[in-house]
Amino acid sequence: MKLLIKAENIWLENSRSVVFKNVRTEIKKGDFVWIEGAGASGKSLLMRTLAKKIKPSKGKLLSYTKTPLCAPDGSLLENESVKNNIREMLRRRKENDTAFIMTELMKSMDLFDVRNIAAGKLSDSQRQLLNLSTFLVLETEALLFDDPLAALDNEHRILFIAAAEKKRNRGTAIVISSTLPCPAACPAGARHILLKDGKLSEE
Amino acid sequence: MGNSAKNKIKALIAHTLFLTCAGSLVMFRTSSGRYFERLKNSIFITAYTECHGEEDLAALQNKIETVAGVKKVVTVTEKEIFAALKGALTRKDILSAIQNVRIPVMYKIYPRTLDYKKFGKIAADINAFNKIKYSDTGGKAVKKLFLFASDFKTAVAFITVLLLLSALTAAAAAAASMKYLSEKFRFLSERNISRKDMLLNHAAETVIIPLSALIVSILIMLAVYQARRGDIIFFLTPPQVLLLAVFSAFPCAVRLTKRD
Repeated sequence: MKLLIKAENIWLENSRSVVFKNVRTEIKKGDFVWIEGAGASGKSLLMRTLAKKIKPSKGKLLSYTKTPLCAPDGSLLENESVKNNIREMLRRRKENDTAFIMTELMKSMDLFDVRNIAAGKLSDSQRQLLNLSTFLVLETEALLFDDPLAALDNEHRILFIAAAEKKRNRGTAIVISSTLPCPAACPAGARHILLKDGKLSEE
Repeated sequence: MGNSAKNKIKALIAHTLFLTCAGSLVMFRTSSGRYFERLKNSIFITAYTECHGEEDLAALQNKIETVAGVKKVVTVTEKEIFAALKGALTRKDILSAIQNVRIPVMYKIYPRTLDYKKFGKIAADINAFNKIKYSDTGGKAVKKLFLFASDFKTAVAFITVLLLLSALTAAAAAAASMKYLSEKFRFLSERNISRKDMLLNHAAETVIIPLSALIVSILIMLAVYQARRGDIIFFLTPPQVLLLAVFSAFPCAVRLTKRD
């Protein structure tokens, strides 16, 4: 499998403390990685580091592909409809059946009924689903989701994991960070990594 | 009509308004500046001397130039006065009749400021020179010109402030009209879309809207200029058009750098 991200003993320190240390991990094409950690354990900073938005204080981070990071506070086109938010990202895809892809995605993410409503008028849960959807349509080898389940109820969490699994099956590596343990809905073979006390351990 | 089209039309209108206000301000400042200069050039003190020698005239001119408040002194010699009279008079025989009369040399003295009190003081100072036979300030007519110049200056300042405020408000409106663009750029950059891709896909917003607005605003100003030009209004010069082109890129540039 193609290596996409390789972290070699990376450290991240802020002015007060060490956020994480000696992080060693590899993310390959088709991986489904679940990073679990308590609140304020440094998950978001680790995800931002893996997405190359923050430079590690020490160590080497090799990234062989683009790594879009879906953050919980991700922006949307507030005055545009759900459909147009997704379409904006689909415009960059080479396939001709983008309308079909969009419909399928909206149905699988429970957004079809609100497809003509402006993003600014959606509920928090719907906004998050739309935010996640605009990342799931990206044609990229790796996708990072930082705490994507927080704003979702159980039903929508399962929907998102199913959609992410579908994406993984097409060869995209999926990395999800969460305060929750890896749910049963996660695909078989998903890697479960625990971030605790600044150390990363793989189960 | 979709949101995208509405946003573009709003942006085009706001940009056109901004550039028309900015262009009008530039045109107004240039035209009023030139008009004021013409007005200033029509106000001068006339002083006469009976000296005719070149050295004497030059020395007197230098002396007048040292008077506080004098901007420029122009000497009009006897020959030049004759030549002017020759051109102006319909009965040329008058000239031959006065051929033996020595016409005094005339100095046109232009003041530095348009303050009537200072103007009077300059005239008095020059009048006090021994070699000056007589000086003329133009009387009431010139005094009215001073009053007009003062009112004109106030009016120009007032209109300039109004136009400047309009231009700034329109600029803020133009920048606000592009808010959707910064929202879109933030949306795309969060999803790792390259800056080049963003700019290419939004050429309409980043290039065509400012350019179209520039063309439309120039046409509006040209129409006003053609209808009311006389010899008072001056149209934009090429560097001023270039300046407007730079201005037209401002709202978009603000949005590209400020991603909120």
